[in-house]
Amino acid sequence: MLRLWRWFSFRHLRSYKGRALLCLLGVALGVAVFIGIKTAASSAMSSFQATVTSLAGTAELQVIGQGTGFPEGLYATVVSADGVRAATPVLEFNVLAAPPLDEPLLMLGIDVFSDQEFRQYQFIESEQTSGAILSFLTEPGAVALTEKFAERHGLNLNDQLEIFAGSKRLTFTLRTLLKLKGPARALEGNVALVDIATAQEAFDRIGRLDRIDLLLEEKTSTKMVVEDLRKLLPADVRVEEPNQRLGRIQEMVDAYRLNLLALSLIALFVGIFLIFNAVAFAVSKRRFEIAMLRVLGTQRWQILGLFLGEALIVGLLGAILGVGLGLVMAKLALKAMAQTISELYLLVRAETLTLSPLVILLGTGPALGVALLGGLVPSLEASRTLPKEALYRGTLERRLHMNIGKVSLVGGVVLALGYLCSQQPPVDGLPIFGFVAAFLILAGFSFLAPASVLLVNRVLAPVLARTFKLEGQMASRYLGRSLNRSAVAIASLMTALAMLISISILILSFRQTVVVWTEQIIAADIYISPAGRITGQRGGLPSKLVDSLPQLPGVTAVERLTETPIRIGEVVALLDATDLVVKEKFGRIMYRRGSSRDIMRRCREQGQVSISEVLSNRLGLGEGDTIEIPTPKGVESLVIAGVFYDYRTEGGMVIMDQSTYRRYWPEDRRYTSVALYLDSNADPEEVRAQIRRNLDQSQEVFITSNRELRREILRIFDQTFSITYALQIIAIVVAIFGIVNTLILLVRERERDIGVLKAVGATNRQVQRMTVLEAGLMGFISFVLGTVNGILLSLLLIFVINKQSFGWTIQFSIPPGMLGKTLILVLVCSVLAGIAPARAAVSKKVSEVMRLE
Amino acid sequence: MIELESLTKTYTLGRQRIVAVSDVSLRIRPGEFTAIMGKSGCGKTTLLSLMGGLDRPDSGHIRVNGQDITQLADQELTRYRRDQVGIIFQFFNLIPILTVAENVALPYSLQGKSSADIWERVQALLRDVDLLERREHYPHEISGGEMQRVAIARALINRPRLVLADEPTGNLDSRTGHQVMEIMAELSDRHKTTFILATHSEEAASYAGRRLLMRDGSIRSVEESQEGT
Ligand SMILES: Nc1ncnc2c1ncn2[C@@H]1O[C@H](COP(=O)(O)OP(=O)(O)O)[C@@H](O)[C@H]1O
Ligand SMILES: [Mg+2]
Repeated sequence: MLRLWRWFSFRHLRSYKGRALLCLLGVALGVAVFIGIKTAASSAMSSFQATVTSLAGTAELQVIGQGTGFPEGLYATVVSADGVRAATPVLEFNVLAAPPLDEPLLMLGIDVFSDQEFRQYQFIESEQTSGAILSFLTEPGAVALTEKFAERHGLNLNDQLEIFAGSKRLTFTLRTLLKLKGPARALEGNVALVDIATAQEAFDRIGRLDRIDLLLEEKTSTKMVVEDLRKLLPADVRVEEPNQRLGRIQEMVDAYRLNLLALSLIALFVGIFLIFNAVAFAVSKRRFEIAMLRVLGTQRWQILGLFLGEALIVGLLGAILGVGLGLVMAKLALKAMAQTISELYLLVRAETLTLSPLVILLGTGPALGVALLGGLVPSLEASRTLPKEALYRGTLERRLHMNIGKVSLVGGVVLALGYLCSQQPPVDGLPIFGFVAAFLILAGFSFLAPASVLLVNRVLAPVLARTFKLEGQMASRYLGRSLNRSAVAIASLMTALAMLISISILILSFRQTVVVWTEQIIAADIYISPAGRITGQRGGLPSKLVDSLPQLPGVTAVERLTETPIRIGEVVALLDATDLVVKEKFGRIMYRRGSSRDIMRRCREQGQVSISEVLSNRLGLGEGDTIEIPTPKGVESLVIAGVFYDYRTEGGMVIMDQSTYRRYWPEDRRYTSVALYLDSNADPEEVRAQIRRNLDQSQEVFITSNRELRREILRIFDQTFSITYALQIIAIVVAIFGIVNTLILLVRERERDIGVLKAVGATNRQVQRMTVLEAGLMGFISFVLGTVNGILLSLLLIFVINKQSFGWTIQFSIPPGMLGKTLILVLVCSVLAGIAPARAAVSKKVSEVMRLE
Repeated sequence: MIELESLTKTYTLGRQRIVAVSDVSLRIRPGEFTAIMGKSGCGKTTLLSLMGGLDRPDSGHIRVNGQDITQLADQELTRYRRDQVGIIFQFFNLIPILTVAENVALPYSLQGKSSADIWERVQALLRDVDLLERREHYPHEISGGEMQRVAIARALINRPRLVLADEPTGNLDSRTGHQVMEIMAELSDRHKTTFILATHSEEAASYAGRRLLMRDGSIRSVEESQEGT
């Protein structure tokens, strides 16, 4: 058997490098997406985990505040609570190291004495740094950075470090360097350490803390301590074990991953067809050889093994290539994931990929399965070769007997199952059945492909015959005749196109929805926000600036926003407190039902709130229900006045009036951004310049115009989806090569017909035109089927999968321009795909026809 | 009038040179039914494919009605095949995706014209070969003898000056073979077409008015028979 492989398979693989490479790419693509996404997700997770655990140190419990934290007076309460052995206060602030460094830094304000029991910072010892630890206490502007960060930016001891924190520009002096150990490992070393007093002053948080880490007395039950503390603490302060944060993040990463996993499934699906194609090709090309082997006494199972073995080799090589590609992809996806995590949870900087052998196994396993599945039918065909066929070289025009009726019936049943699955509710908040439905739709359409090809072909036949005369007629007839080969190529291109079309419809519908939404919602002329706003909307705008805005010439109204992440049950959402009087008059919120004026008035006058659609879906709450919001004054039950559309975050959003917010959060005096409505004749640029002039040296803010903000939202939107486009284009190219493959195979099988045609007077040009027409026809039919399939899939994506995993309302629209462009792309590509086979078709000498048989 | 002048064709197989047609000179009068006989491998097929414009000789000339086809460019040669020659193969070689009628019309359709224009002629030819009622059938639905009759009709559709038949009965039982030969002889007579038949069968050759014997690529003897049916 081994020898058989060595003699036959390897030699052939070597001589069909191109074809083998193609299959390889197809399989690799599927594996790559799978491994890429999985690896990115687990890397983001582990980086997040590393950050959380290294920051937590030995802490057994954490008291965590939200928004601007809690009063430091609580520290005394916590330390003296029963069962608490030790406690240390922490202030966390996400800042941006000022350009040219331009990197996020997690600034930790710690109490050097009480912290020692919790975290082991290791300082780089040297003459210069002796006493450095002390200098923390004495010198207000001192900072410690990790060796890694300092080296990367060429910072030396006593150098100045400039940062943006909220809208402030601050300068620190680098006094000591940390080894990349313990807590300094958080954020891959982007950590800065300052004394807690320094931090409180620098960040305008005098008298406030973000967190208290706790160690418990031996033999106390954690649960009891948690319960006791809860009673002592305000409602918006949580008591958690450090690893509790991990569970929530896992859920979110799962949702993100699921979408892309669907992509990888589709790619593998195309891979099945490609392998089928390639093995069918190999079998047809080597039929004589197979028959000879049979004559010489090779067993059927050996022939089967020979070809399956070849398929497996291709599958395996594809998987290996896929792992490599997957890592590249993971690198790209990691950024996006880290960003989402940072936005809602905790600043993470994920750079290192953690590769798990299990993921690699999970990725390559299906690849081999695909190879076997794709290789099985043609390999069986090969094994059924009779020895006597060795005698009739090249003539046997064998047909797989395809029972189109039966195959179509299976397709119908599979589609019906798909429909049933699409009607199922989510499992654990994940659209599992939705994905099963997507798979079933693809499979169902593939089964229906032969019948559909016949149908579309029949409709097109008269048109082709009229337009392209005999060549058109023959191309169409040949296609119908060689269904056993062509249906596979068409199904694979159809699948790739369905993927392209459905995802394009999803993205473009989504984009259109977002465009309409931004036009409605971004109504102010100028927006101002802190420059250092990386994540965790903590920094506020300078109050002098905010206060001065109404007096600026040209300003009609000022809408002030305070944004804070809050936790409602297990869901993390953004709380937006805004001046609804202004919004009601000048701005807009898109409510899904009810009069927006009415809703906003109720929010303003009766302290009700509006929640976003996503949050409404997550919590299962709607108009008229009450929502429990933890505030420093206790958990408040507020009535939901309305549910609005929002596409900004994957989490959710609550909007309330500033007056309501101030009532429950009297200590928070921040405004995290401001929207300005201008007189109709005011020049926004002039107002912008005026604001800049009013700022002092130590302040940095972003001033964005209406148009810039809209553009920025769309830019982020487009960026988010750019990877998917690249993936799809690759899948199409691979599928088009499937057509090249099939046609070359078909041309071989029709060698004799072509000889006859030429003998009775067909010119080379005519034969080539026939082949190219057939390629175009295959492309066109694939397009028609792919469009129908793609539209169905996009409905599923928008109304089932998106709805269940994110809960966004997306206005479904089919962009005709996209379909037109896709059609042109497909026709051009498939006609190009016909060129090589067309060449092959006329390469034989005509006189051969007299000797064929 | 077909004139062959010192026609030679050699094949190289590896290091071996095979002279398939060697210095053949020959004249065939218009309307003549000629059989080329000889054992398998003597060069009949090669000679036919040279005359049919399917292949080019190494040296020598083929003049068909004064036109030297060895001098034609590829495209002109294709046109020559299409418009002036009809070919009948041993293995029938019908196009499986075309109906009987469409197969007959094929050489005409290849001129870029619609097969409807020639419907009457197709019908007439199918009637001649007694297959009119089979016109809508596909090749796999008819018998070998019928297929060969379709091939004969196809060979005649463009009113060629020359019809070449390579072992047309080679794949048929002798009774069907006779039928096919009879039809060929009759049509050759009626349409005044020059017919050249390559065969190793005495029986088939007996329909010809003139018999040439080939051996090792050369014409060895010519035999005229006045009473060839
Ligand atoms: N393409 C070819 N390559 C090499 N030798 C060939 C080729 N075609 C024919 N021959 C050789 O030329 C000789 C004449 O063949 P052919 O014309 O087919 O004879 P016939 O038709 O009388 O059987 C034979 O020896 C044959 O093997
Ligand atoms: Mg022969």
